[in-house]
Amino acid sequence: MADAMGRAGRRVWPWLGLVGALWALWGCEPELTEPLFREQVFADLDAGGMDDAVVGPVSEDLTGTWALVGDWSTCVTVFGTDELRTRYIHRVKIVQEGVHLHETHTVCAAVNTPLLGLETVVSDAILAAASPLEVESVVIGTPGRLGYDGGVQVQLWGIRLDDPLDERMPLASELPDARIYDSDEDGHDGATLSIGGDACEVYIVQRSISSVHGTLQPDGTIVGSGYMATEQTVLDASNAFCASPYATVSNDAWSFTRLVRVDEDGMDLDTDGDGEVDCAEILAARTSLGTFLEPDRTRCEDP
Amino acid sequence: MDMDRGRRGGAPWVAVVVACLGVLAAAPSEAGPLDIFGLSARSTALGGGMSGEANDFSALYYNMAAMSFTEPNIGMGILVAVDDVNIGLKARPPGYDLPDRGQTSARIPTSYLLRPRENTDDILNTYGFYIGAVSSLGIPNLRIGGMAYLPVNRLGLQRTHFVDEREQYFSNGLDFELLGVRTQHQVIIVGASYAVTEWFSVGLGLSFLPSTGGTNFVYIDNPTDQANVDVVLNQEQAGNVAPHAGVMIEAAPGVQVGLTWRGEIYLSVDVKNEIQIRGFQTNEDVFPVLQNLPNTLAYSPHQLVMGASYKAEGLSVMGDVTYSLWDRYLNNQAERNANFRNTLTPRIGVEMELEPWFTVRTGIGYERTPVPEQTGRTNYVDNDRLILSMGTGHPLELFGFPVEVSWFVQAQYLVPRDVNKLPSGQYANCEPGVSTLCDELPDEVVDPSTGQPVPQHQGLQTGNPGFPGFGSWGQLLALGIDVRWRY
Repeated sequence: MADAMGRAGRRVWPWLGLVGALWALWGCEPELTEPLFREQVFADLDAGGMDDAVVGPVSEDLTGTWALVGDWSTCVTVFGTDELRTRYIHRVKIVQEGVHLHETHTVCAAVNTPLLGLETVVSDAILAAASPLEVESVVIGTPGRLGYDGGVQVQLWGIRLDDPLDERMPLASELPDARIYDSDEDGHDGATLSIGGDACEVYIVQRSISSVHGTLQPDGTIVGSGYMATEQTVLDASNAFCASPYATVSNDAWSFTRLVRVDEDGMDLDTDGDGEVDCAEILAARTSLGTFLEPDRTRCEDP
Repeated sequence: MDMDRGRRGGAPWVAVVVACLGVLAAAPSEAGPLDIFGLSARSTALGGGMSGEANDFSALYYNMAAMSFTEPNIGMGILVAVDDVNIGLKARPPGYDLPDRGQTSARIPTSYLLRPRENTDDILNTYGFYIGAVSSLGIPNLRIGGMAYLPVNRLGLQRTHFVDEREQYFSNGLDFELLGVRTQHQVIIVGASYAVTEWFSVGLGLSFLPSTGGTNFVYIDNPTDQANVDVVLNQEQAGNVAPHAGVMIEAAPGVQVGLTWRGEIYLSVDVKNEIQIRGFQTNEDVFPVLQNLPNTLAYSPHQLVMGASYKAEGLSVMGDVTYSLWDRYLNNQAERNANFRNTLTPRIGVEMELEPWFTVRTGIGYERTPVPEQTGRTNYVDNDRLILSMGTGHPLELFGFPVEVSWFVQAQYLVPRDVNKLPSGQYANCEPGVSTLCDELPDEVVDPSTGQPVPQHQGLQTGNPGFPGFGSWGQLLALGIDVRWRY
């Protein structure tokens, strides 16, 4: 019996050794080849930015071309309440007569922060139809302590009003309304807002009334705040989800504005040398014009 | 072939009980662990090339028709498999992360991902118990049988993963596609064979596979407070079966040829949700929201196996070749677009009776991976496996009954694989249907506040855990012992 076991053992061991040798590779790690991708560098990534902002010398003659940067806070209730921040950039041509400022505004951009993860995009066509805005403002004070008191701005989207400030806006229950028109010429009455990329479109008419005020800073900018009220009527939507009503409250305590001179007496953004600073040139320098706050719902706890 | 063997079968209740387990099973049961490790100590020690030879209850898996060539038997045993397998992720060069642009970030920035990108250095160990039986029910030429493989540390495991950039939001790593979770399931097979002639038999069987499906009902009172939702579950587990079929021919004295077909099978979990959100009740387009979330786990392909065996004095040699139709592979998201390739797997084994009480067995196999090179968007991880096994069998008499105790040890070597994603200079947006390495932040999207493209979106941005490449390698070690009683 012992001999038989010995014979059997001698025949088994080579096989056990083979399996064991294979298992001896435990813990061995092969050397992997280098990946085929190298560091990706962005040449323009660090250009601009507020830390590098260059603002021109102080000029108390305000006649010229300016950029108005507005960072407006609105508290929106869609089930819960969140802060919506609307960033406007206007090109403002100012003609100063004494303390009076005759302003012509062109709305260059209007950007909303996402709400519940959905961003509302306003097309350039809407902004073009809303421009120009004629605004009468005043400057008050003494050299070195100049205050700016902006006139009322009335911005209409998708509707024409004989009296933009006082005429009553149509309610949803009063449609159709002959004053409503296809302001962005996309085949839908009113102004078309795209929500959440291609998620849906909503067709609205809107009137926003605002005014800004501020003080002239040593760097030549006018920094302040403002008031805004918006009335909006939803006409239709491509997806009923987007037509859902919601309540908004202007949150002026957290709205900020800044006027930056952008002509040759300021930042000189006339990059194409045509003697005018247009919207494209202003938007290209957007990061130098000012910073925007990120939404924070705690600002809406007691708007 | 001894056509009287069936009349001597004396314990049909075992096969019936095992078969009933299949009917009652409520967890996934398919051949995943058997595909990888084999069934029974003898068969696994012989490399698993048993479709032309299986002479015990393991015929239920290898070739149903082989039951007709075996005496009624009962067996039970244990299987333990541990691993040293690894997926090593190559270092990401700077500049490809998803940038942090505050709340306007188009994707969750890389710096905010819940889990860091990490290597995989372990998969789930396998601890299983199996029992099987073959009986004749006293009917000449007939065999019926049943077997059950049961994980002892859990009844089953349902865990899915994505194989592309979406996984960054979950494990943020990679997982072996055909190992690990795939072994954590019950296997229950029942079948019967009939000896048409002394040299020819046919077999037919089923493996059971529950599928889960149904529509859950969800009510959200406040969508900004997602932590509080009301849910009514409504999931039904229905029975699914996959066919097993085989034929067995005794071509000459000591020479057997077998052919087996094992049908495609997988576990499907079709989750549907009907969601009501307060406030949207007037909007029939979104009230209710309907979600359809199909999932597939533990896929086993159609397998066609051809094998043969030769038995002489004290020596048996057997082997088979398995053709697996992996091109129909369903991934965890029930997508049939993995582009897997069909494979041929050869296995061969030798058994020598050294002494009447001592039989030594060894086997070898090579399993090609069905997974093609992963140079694009997907990160299916799998390796070729070299399988070596050995074991012994010890016939003895226990309480007057002929019993054999067998054990095996099996080592599987995962042939190292080195994957590099291929640069192309042009990257499609990450959308359904895109299989090449894709850009999560398209360059052409303009920042509305500047009218300019976003600088951080230039070039390629991807959080794909498998980018820019990875390697996979390692070993599996399986051990098992069982006892078999022929009656």
